Amino acid sequence: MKKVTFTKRPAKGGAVQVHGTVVSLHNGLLLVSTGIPSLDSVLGGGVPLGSVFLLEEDVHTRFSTLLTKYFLAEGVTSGHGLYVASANANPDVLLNALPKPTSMSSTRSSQQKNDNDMKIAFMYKDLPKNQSSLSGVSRYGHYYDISCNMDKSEVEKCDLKSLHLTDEISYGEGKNDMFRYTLKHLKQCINNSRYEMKQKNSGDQQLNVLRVVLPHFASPLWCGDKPDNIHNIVRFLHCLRAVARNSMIACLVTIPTHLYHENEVAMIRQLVDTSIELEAFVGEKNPVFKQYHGLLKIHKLPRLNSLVNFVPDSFDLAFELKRTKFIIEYMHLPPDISETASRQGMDETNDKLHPRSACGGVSLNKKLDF
Amino acid sequence: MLEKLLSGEETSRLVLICDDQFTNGSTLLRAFARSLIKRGCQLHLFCFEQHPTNFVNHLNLHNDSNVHVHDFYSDPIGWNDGDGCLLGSRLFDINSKVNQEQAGGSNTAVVIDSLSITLQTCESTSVCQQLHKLSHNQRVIQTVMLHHTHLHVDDVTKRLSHISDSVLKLNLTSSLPKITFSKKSVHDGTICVTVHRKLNGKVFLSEEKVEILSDSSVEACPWQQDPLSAQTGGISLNEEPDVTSEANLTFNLNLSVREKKERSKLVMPYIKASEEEKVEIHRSTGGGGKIFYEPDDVDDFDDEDPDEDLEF
Repeated sequence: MKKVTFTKRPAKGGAVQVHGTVVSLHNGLLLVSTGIPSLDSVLGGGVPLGSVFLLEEDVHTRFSTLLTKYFLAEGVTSGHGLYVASANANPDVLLNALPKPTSMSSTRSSQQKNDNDMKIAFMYKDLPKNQSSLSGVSRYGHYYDISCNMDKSEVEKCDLKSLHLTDEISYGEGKNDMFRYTLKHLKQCINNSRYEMKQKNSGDQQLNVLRVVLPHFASPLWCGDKPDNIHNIVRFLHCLRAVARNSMIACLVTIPTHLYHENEVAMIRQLVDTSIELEAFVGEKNPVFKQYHGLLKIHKLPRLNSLVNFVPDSFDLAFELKRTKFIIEYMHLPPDISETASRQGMDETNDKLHPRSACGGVSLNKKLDF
Repeated sequence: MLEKLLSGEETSRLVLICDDQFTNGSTLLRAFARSLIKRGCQLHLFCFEQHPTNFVNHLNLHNDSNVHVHDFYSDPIGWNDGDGCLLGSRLFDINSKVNQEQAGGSNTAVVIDSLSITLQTCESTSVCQQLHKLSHNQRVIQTVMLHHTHLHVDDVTKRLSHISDSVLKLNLTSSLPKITFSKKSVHDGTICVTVHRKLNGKVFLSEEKVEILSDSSVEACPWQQDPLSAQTGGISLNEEPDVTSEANLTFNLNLSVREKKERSKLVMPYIKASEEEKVEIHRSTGGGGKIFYEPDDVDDFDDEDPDEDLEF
């Protein structure tokens, strides 16, 4: 009798196995996590390798700095290499303040407890709960606790490269060449290293991912004296994308686009692969937004090797920052229990005098007696 | 928030005061300068728009030794001095000027009377770079700058706000269009809208009505725009007459004045009990005290921060 055994087929020849990455379900690209499982779901699994991810900063840069830290922390947890080029402050300041990964075991045990508690509706125990928050089902996303910093020893285990663009560098070669210097430095780091995709896999060096982060890129500190900064920025992004396509890197660039005009921003968005914008609430009084810290707007999603990109269920997204999670949710309208919900046949003067809810306590001309 | 910034309770490396043609920010700038000197800083004053002696006299200081004046008002283009360089580039040495005067290890603070002339002669991005470097100078604890928003395009103001930690925008209370400048409306006062970004990234917004007294001390109280007056310009609407007229009733629903007085004199039984409790509570907590809480690992923390006072 023939035994039917289900054996795992060996991976197709030439498939690249890199830790910390996952193959996309939509288009077969290798993806890396952003460090925020909700954001990974919105992007279709993560950031594709070899692409440029633009994060348009919120006005006070609070959340964009946080997202940069999550991205770097995910790199440390996955064992990737890190590259940070900053003109604002020393990159070490950013690298010393990465959030600590929370252990997943505590959340799992509480879930199991909840399952056991269903004594009456036990038949529904195994059905998935309806969640509006996009929880990361992918195993490669991690949660981070922002109130504690990651151990320095963990960070130092990774291959760290940083570039602090100070006056010495920029004044030496001319202001415009801050961009050129950064590009040259990046290429030097990638050449002949494990981050380069070679034609023949020599097998000596294990391929790894390099996470390139450019925080506060194109802020006034990057720009030179001449007013045509946008051309330099555009040229830089074009070259960066070319470098990215040929290597195992995932770039995160944050730009304060609120400082630029619309057509300049459109040019910038044209040259990146993914673009999302954060709009943080400061002193927001709208009750719909009460529980959220801001809105997330998607301007462009990656489409590297296909005709159609991944489209999330909805584009109305809002985010909320908790100590251990950064949650992105679909916004839905709350139930309408406003005082001015009008009904047919109502007297207009009655509206002003008797504020009432839509569902009860209405004084109609005809009295309904129950 | 404004008082906290003035007293130094809230640290802010770069403070930007924005005024326009209707408000005057130099009084607030002087208030900042005065409080910085009171805190024992060596003050570097860069004067572009007022004569330095004028500025210093208004500070009402007993002792002038802590103030180093860099006078760019008297000889703007350097005709007398001879170097004849453009005014704006003089500010570029701001860092070196601050560093060279530094004798001891005391704190330094920088007050710039106005950025307008510098911004008109140089690119705003270069000015931003210089100011950013100044704010990151280890010895300088605070830099306060005055900016006239009506003299520059919005882009420039946005860039300066981007590099600053605190932005104080001065507005007038009444939002009516100013047709005549001679008439001063009763409701006119100055409001300061403060947007302060703390070191951990959190942003606070506050609107306060500001009054600056003659000795450069500041009084600020929280202010909320009255929605009615905002729409109608301060004219209050008459209240609508009560539709349910009580003239047709045979009994009296209201209390007379005497009856109201007697009602207020009446003591409810629950009031006595709560007052006793209050006295007890006051007795038990003697003087005030701070609680220093060191959380354990096992402590169950709430993930959210609704009051915005936790440090993350």
